Amino acid sequence: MAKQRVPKGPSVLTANDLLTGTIVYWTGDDWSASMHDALRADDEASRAALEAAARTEEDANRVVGAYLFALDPETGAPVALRERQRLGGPSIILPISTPRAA
Amino acid sequence: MYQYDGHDQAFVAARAAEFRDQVARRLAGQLSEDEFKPLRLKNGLYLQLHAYMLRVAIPYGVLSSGQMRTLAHLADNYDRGYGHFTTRQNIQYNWTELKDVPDMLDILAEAGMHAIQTSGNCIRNVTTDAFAGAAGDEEVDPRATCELLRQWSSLHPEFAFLPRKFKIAVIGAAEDRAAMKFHDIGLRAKPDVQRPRYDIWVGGGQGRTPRVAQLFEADVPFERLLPTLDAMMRVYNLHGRRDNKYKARIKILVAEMGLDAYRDEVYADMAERDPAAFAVAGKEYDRIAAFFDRGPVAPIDDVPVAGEGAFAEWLDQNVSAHKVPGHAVVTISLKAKGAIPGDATGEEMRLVADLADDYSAGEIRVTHRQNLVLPFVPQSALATLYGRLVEAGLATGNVGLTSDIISCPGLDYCALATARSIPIAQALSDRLREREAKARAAGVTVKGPTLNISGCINACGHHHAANIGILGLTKAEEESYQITLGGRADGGAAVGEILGPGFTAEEVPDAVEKIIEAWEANRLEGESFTDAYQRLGKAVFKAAVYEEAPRVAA
Ligand code: SF4
Repeated sequence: MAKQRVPKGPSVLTANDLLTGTIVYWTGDDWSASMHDALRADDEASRAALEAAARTEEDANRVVGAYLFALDPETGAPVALRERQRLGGPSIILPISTPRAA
Repeated sequence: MYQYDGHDQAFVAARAAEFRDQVARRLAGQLSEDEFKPLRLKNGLYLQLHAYMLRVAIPYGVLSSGQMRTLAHLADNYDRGYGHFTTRQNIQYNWTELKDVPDMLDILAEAGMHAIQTSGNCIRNVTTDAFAGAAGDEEVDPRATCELLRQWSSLHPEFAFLPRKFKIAVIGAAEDRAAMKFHDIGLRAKPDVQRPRYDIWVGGGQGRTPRVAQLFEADVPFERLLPTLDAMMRVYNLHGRRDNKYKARIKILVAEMGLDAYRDEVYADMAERDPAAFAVAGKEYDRIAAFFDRGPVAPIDDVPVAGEGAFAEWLDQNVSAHKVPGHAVVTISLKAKGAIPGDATGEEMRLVADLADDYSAGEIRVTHRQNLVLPFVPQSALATLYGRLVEAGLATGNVGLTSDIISCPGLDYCALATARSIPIAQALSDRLREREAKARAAGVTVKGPTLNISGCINACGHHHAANIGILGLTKAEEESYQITLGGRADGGAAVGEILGPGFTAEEVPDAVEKIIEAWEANRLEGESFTDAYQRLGKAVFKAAVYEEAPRVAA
């Protein structure tokens, strides 16, 4: 996977689920679709542990493209626009379909 | 329509089976992501922000009604009920699951479709005029050339690992409806004694270094078409940069070598090869052309069609002249007020398939402006067809107006995006449809500027080629939108110029409206946006947008 820079401040580990591509966050022992469940790393040692989990989980073929991203120390929200959009997105109302009877 | 032969059919089926095996090995942990990624990309499967995205090729934008029903079936059963038609005349499914993709490819293969060469550094799906074979101003039907190029470029072993992706477009009329000069190679087919001859253009493209193609050679006889293209690809393959992906497209090579030096090298390469290798191309062209020449409709009496209100607007905007008397080309706008440009639900796709069967010889086209086309509609059926489109909410009469916005998926879907594009398109379309209604009520008939939006510098939303282009960027972790003016995708192709500092998402609609108002206030009688822009220069528009409220540079 492309090398991502490890953030300096508080961070969490994210990836895409191998089967569905869904965005997932690492809880410490599993992946969750909700960032609320994510394990937050506040110091270097715990960030290194998240990094290690990223490699293990990728090697176990459970997720794809695992990386850490930074949280705002005060609000706990993702700093990067991209992460905020991943979290909330798609921000649009999706088109829907009502299949006609066969 | 062209029909796949047994060889094509067997090939796509075998390719789907091969991918099924690769997916099984990935799911069983026998292939790592690093090993699997190039394989999935070769089958059009991307991993986007929220899910896997499957890009399905629609060769030169032509679909049968049956194929459209297959696309609808995939939307309903393997996606969330919709698909997205792209500026490359393809369709993307945004919510596919890895385990389902082999089934999707099997279903596509049964319908004579696939997702091969919709990704990666190869020759991508050849695009063309969505009105091919139908346009009133057509000189040569470009589809036979497209199909010949499809056969030549599909899995061409020498061109499977090019320095970068490679896009070819073909047109056969004076009016360019395919943004031909924004392609790596653009061809204009012209009539000749037996088979067409071609103007070959090279080095166009968008992305971070937008370039309008230059004329490589005019009036190339058919016999020299494939030998020339082959040599053009070979010289690019040899000298195109592989050390820097931002400098790897042929536009950079041609700019760095100079067109003359590039051309000399191409001719030198050709001189070393035996042109007999392509001798069979002529016969193959004739065989393919026969599929198209038969044409699905015969001349009938012209029927005058007139209407009032919204029907009149639809007739003016969405109905175009046909080369066969008594017929019309109908564009179905996927740009209703507030709609997501290019998105169609499964239900809408099925309806369009039904309409194609009832009124258009079973044929549909996808346009690079992300609309659908019924190419063979009898004029006598226009009113009934319109009525059925109204019922389905697909009767917006805005084709060619500013609200006919091109938009890429942007940061709502795309892993490469730097800002959202769809919400900007939606906000603009609400505003623009109101302006267009007022202009129409006032009897103003001047076509508005084209408006295209990209969610990053890769420019899939063709913002460089728009009269008003919008590019979404990330600035200090917020979305910032840069506006360019004066771009054109037609015969007078031009790259837009940056107007000034960027805007927030909320500011974009006002800025666009001020630009349009500046054009309306300053234009000469009937003067188009681009003509006015060229005559007036940027300053007038800059003043209109920035002067009322001085801005801090973004
Ligand atoms: S222009 Fe950028 S954001 Fe839009 S689809 Fe292309 S790569 Fe994605």
